[in-house]
Order: sequence, then structure tokens, then C-alpha cells
Amino acid sequence: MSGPPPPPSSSERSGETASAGDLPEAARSRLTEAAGPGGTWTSDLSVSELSAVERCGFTPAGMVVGMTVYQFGLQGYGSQYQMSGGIGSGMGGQLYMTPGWAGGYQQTYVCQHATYGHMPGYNFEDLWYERGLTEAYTIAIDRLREEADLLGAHGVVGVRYQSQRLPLASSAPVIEIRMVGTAIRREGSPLLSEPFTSHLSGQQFAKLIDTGWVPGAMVVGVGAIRSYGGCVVGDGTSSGASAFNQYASGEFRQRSDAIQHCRRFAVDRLETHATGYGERVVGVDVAAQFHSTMEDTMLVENVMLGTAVRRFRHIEEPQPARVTVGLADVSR
Amino acid sequence: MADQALDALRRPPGRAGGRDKASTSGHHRAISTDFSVDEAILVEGTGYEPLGLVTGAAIYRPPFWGRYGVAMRENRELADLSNSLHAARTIAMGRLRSEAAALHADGVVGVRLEFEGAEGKGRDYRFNAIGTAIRATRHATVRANDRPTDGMPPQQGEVFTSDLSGRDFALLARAGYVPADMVMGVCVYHVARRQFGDWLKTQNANVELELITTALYDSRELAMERMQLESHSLGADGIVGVQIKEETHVWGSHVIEFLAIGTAVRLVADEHQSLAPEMVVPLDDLTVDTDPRKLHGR
Amino acid sequence: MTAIDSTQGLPPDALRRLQESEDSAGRRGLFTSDLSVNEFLLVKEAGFHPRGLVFGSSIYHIGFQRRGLRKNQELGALTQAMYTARELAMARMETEADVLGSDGVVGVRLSVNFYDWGKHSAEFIAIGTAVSADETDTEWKTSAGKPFTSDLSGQDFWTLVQAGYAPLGLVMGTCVYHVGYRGVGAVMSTSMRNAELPHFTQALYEARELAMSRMQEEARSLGAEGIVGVQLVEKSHFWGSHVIEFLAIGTAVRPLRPDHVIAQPQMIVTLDT
Repeated sequence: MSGPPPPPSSSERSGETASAGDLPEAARSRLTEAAGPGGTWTSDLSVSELSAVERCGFTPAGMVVGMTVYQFGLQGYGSQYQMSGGIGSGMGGQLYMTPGWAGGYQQTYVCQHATYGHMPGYNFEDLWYERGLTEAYTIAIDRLREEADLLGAHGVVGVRYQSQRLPLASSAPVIEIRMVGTAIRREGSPLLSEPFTSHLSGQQFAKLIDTGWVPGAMVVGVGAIRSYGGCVVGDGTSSGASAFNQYASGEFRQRSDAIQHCRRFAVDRLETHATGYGERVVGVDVAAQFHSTMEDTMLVENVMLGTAVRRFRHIEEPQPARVTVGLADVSR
Repeated sequence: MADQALDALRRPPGRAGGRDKASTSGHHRAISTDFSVDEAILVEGTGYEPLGLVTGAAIYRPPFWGRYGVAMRENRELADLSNSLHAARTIAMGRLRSEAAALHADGVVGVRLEFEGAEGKGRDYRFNAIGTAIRATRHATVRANDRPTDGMPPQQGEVFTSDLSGRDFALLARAGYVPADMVMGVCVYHVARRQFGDWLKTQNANVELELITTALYDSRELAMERMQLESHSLGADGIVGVQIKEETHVWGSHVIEFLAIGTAVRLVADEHQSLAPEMVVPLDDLTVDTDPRKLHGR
Repeated sequence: MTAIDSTQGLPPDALRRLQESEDSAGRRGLFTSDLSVNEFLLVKEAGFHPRGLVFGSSIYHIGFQRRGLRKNQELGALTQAMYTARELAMARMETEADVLGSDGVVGVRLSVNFYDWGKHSAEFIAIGTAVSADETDTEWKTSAGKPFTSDLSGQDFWTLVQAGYAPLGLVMGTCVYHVGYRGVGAVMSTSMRNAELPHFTQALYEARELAMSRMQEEARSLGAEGIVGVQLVEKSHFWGSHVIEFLAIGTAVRPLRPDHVIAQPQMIVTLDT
């Protein structure tokens, strides 16, 4: 298994995407107005969140947005990730790609049937897709920071994020990633070179500060593995070979490996990404997606998103939390 | 505090004020957890440190003939299918455990064990587990076992797993308990089709259908019994948070799978410690929620 | 297949499971519980120890009852069926609790499941956690010597005991009611007006009152002081829009001591979400 590639830094990004200062004009003028004299702040913090944030000595600076509409190019032709393998032909005349994607995880599962040389199954890491997803999330987070910077803020809390596949007429999949949060400011403190970002709510932010931690940045880890089934997949109708599989039982090791590795890669990259910002990552959202692109193939995709936090003060004897029972109606 | 916090962000990470536990134990990488801030604080409050997210997955194909060989009018457990479900879950949890053991963890908390059935026409099903590995520090108030702290990694079997949240783990620790392990019982059962004559007789009557009652009752009891038997061998005192799940879609309407899942706990203190809760009247309409999945739902 | 044991009403696997978790050789038996950790700890705080998850089930065929199209009427046979089926499930759960030698059952949940193999049959399920008191100086069982039952959560159970009450039994009343269709004339005459529809009002009103009074009657016969946490549930199950079951369910309580003073609770405002 190869080591995980680091997430792209802003200098080595593809194409003409987010370099510093590419916010739309409408965003610039909105933020400059809000930051200027007589400007008002907007915020989607609840009243409880607002008071929690203010208690820690921060004031809201304004709502900030980071978004991108991103297209995944057609499987990397002409790129450095282009396949180095070739096209082969299995029993029954199906075409299949031989493994050989440069650099990523790959594994072949040869046919176990004694006398038939069936099509092998194989897993490979889709580096091209992984890189695209990572870049899309990084762009959105960078734009949040940029907007916060324009407001003269020190950080962004309560970031909510959404991603969706856009039904655009395009030969390649297009996703939209949208992040919204509230920028906050510490009066009288010089600006940071990079404002912090966090998907934690205002209260959670306050609890972090109280216990000696400060959010560093929202971090993301992505894993994507394509699993092409060999002769062990199928229900006995799709290809001649899989008639054997009706009666097979037991673990489907190839698919287990795909999921296991995919999650491992996402966690590893999340931690690598976070290492530049803090010692811990909290609140990781571990949603995984499985796409069956065809009968025999599966794309396993994991996007993990969390907030890296850094310790600024060590509290030797933390106050134990009080145990209370609320006389309020909490439904069971 | 705010200024101190911002100052820390002006320095490169890992050299912040105070002792950095992570780097003393040889880790220089960030450690990921799916804990909410509340959970992170509470778990550390009990003297445990997180070591990272660990996962285990297994995709399993049940025996094709497992569904057959049972008469239409027979109430019977499909033992092959029960066994295959059990095996798949054991594999997934085993992988989670070995990832945790590789991190020298004492246990894994907040395990989410997802079970999904019938992928494609092959009737494959998937067990997916993910959770945060933790280890006792020298401040720990309770310990899973009296393992000598000479730096020896624990044996693989000693890593406990638990589907309790970090908050629940901390509360149990205060009361003197530690999780022993996640336990599960499975029963896949074929419910008989009724005879036409029977159906005709009861068509208009209000009656209990005794045979079906027995079938369903029995299969749930079997699932619960197997779960209990698992925890007996762990020397547990009890099982909390038991969930009984049932699915009917995987093998057709007359085959039901019952899954009983819970966390077995062991009392390690001399006796149950009272938490002496205080009564409070919250003057707000909000309910407290520490589920990390709802962190950004607000 | 072994049929349900007529004396106990439980399948043999249930008895075996329960016996396995009994105390042996001075060691407390294993308990199983679907209580959350918070609830488990509060039940312990209240001076109880969980004994095991107890369960009762009954699959019941619910027949058809003739009704007048325009008539508001209770469908007595259906009411009886819905009640008996729940009662059977509850009784089996109580028997399981009895086998464990427990004082009561907390966190009882009653549910009705429909499966796709029988259109008019449903599974009625009662599930809860059997508990025993640590101290033996209070009699927690009902006057009939049966374990108490309650649908209160662990939190509510603790608070109730703090306030000097004891749960006595889960009480319920049900009423399956046919709401008559209105005549064409009645529909025509009101279609352009804002008006109360007395025919419907009366039907729904009566059905609810019937369900509630039956529940109250159950509580009275238990010798309860009152009923807490009553829920009124309305469901049409598989009967279509004009036949509705009204179910009233709550926990009957009795006083443990004459005064019900609790420690003055603190008022707090949480900044939590």
C-alpha cells in the first residue's frame, strides 16, 4: 500500500481555480461595506451561540460564504494519473482495464475457479477523483477564509456545509460545495495570517476555548476506490462466469478491502491535512457513499470533514462536569 | 483566554503552551476523532486520551441454499443465515479491533455498526463499523483491566468495543463501570405460511394467531439469548442500550432477521458509585444533544 | 414447533433466556436493558437494579365488523380485539418480569407492527426493563402481588420517586369508532359556510372520552391516586379513513409518603444546542 498523497496546497492547483483574490465582485463589495465605517454585521448564530461566543471575548464580524462548482474531468486522459495499463479481454468478450494506475493503491483478485481463466477482479484507488474532491473542498474552505479576511475577522465558526451533484449538461460529473458560517473578531488583536475555520457551533467553540483548545482549520480527508468485480460478482445472469457464484458464500474479500482501505485513506489524509493546524481533529463527519456504477463495479467514496484543534493551555485539574437532571420535557 | 488562543495560532502547531501529550507518546500527526467537543472534554476528564478513528468493514454473501430447504408451512430458524450474519459482524469488528490494537488502544468508543442488506442481486450484505480508539492515561479514574503499564501493547482480545457515546462512557466511568464489549445476537427465522383452511376459519374472527406469535416471540428471544451468552463469557454485569432491530426485506417477506445489539458493561469499582444528580429546571426549550452527527445541523 | 405454554404464556426459549440471567452463587445475574446509560444510572440512583429486558408479543387477527354507513358508532368487537391483543402482550411481559423475580418494569413501550403476510393481522409488542429495589422495606409490587409497570423513562422514574410517588401500572383504554359519513344534504348545506360539523365533533369527542374513561377505570381499580404522562393516540391502522382507534395510555401512580416536597431545583439557562 502506498503512502497517501498530501492534499494539494494552493500553489500546485490545477487550472485557473482559486488563487487568492478570486472572490466575485458582489462578495467583495458586500464585505467591504460591512467592514467599513457604519457597517453592520450579519450572523446566523442563534442567541445562545452569540452569547457563548461573546463570553469568550469575540464579536461577530459577518456571515461568510465559501463555494465552488467543480467538474471532475474525464478520468485523467493526458494527465499524470493516466493509466499505464492497457485494455484486455475476458471470457465472454467483455473488455476490462488492467490495473496500472500510477502511484495509488491497487490489488488484483485472481480467479479461484480451478480450470477457467476468468476475468480477474481488481480494486484501484481513483487518484484523479480523490484529488478533484479534495481540491473542491479546499477551495471552498479557502474562500471562507478569504471572505473572513476581508471582514478583518480572526476566524469563522458554525460552518455548515453541503455538497450536491448538479444536474448540468456536462460530459463529466459536476458538484457544488457550499459552506456558510459566521466570521468572528477579537477587538484589538492583530490579524492572523490565516483566519481559523471551524464547523463547531458557537457553544462548542466556547467550550473548546474554556478547556484550553482553539480551532485551527476545517480539514478534509478523501478516499475513493473503484472495485471492478471479477468472476465472483454477479447473480448468474450477467456473464457466463458468474453462474458459479450462485452458490458461493462467505466473505466477499475484494469489496471488504475496498471499503476498509477507502476509510483508512480518508482518515490518514484527514490527519495529514490536520497536522499543519493542530494536534486533534474533533467532530469528524464520517459519511460514506457507495455508488454502484454498473452491475459488477462499485465506487466507494469517503469524505471526512472535521475541525483541527490546537492546545494553547494545559489545564491540570479540569472541573468535573456536574450531573443534572432537567425537569423539562425531553421526549424519550 | 481569547488572546492566548489567538497567539497560539500565530505559532506553528505542536509547540503550543503546556505539555503536548501527543508528541511525548511518539505521535507527531494529528489525531482524528468523531467526538463532539462535549464528548472530547468528558472522555479526557475520565483520564482517557483519543488515539484516532478506527474502522472495520465486511461484505458477506450468505449461503445461497440458506433460504431454501424449509417447508412453506414450517416455522424454523434458518441457522445457516444466522451464522453467516454472525460471522460477517465478527469479521468487521475484528478488523476494527486490530486497527485499534495497532494503535495500542484500550478500547473503542462510539462505535457505529451499520448493517445494510441486499446489495445488488447477490443478496450481499455489509457490516461497517467506525469508532474512536482511546487509551487510559495515568490520570484514568477507571481501567478496563489491571494490565501493567509497562508499555506492553495489550493482546488483541483485550481491546474493548462499545457503541456508547463518549458522554455515556464518561458517565459510566464515574459510576464505576467500564465497557466490556459490544455484544450481538442474531436470529434469522422463517415464518410459516398459513394453510388456506386456517385462513378461512379465522378470516372474520378476532383471534390470536398462536403459531405466528410463537415464531416471532421465539426468534426475538433467541437473538436476545445469544447476545446474553456473549456477555456471559466476558464476565459482564449487564448490557445497556440494547436495540432490537428487525429487517424483512433481504430474503423476502416470510424471512425475518432479528438483531439484538448492546454494550456489555463491567463494574470495576467496589460498588456502584452514586452520581448524586442535581435537579435543575432549564429555562429554555432546547434539548441537549451531543450527537456529533448533528453538530452542523443546528 | 412448540406452542406457547398455556400456564405461563411464554415460549420455552423465553424461560430459558430468563433463567440464564438469574442470580447464582451470591453473584448478581447479568442484566440486559434497553435503557440508555443516563436512564440506567438514574434507575440505579432511584435505588433499583435492572434485572433484564422483558418482552411480550401477540399476533392477533382482527376481523371485520359490520357498520352502518352513516352511523356514528363504536365498533365494540374491534375495540375488544385491540384491547385484548395489547393486554396479552403486556401480560406476557409481566410474566417474564415475574420469572425474574422483579418488582416492576420501567420504560415500557407498546407498539403495533404490520407485516406483509397478513393484511388483517398485526403484532402487538410490549417491551421494557424489569427492575428490583435494592431495599426491601417498601412494597413496590401492586396489591395483586404483580410487578408494577410504567412507560416512564428512567429520568421520569427517578424524578417521580424523588417526589414521593410510586408507579402502579401502565393503564390504557381504547375505543375503535366508526365516524359516519354525512348525508348529501348535510354536505350541501354546509359546503359554503364556516360551520362546526356537529356530527363529526360528536363522534370524535365521544370516542376520546370513552377511551379516557376506560383508562381511568383501570387506574381506579388499581387503587391509584392519579395517572401521569397520558398520551392520546389516534390511528386508523388498516381500516380506511372513517374507522379510527383512539388509545389513551398512561402510568397510574400512588403516593409513597404524604408530602411530595422535593429539593428546590436550580433554575438554569443552558447555552447548549
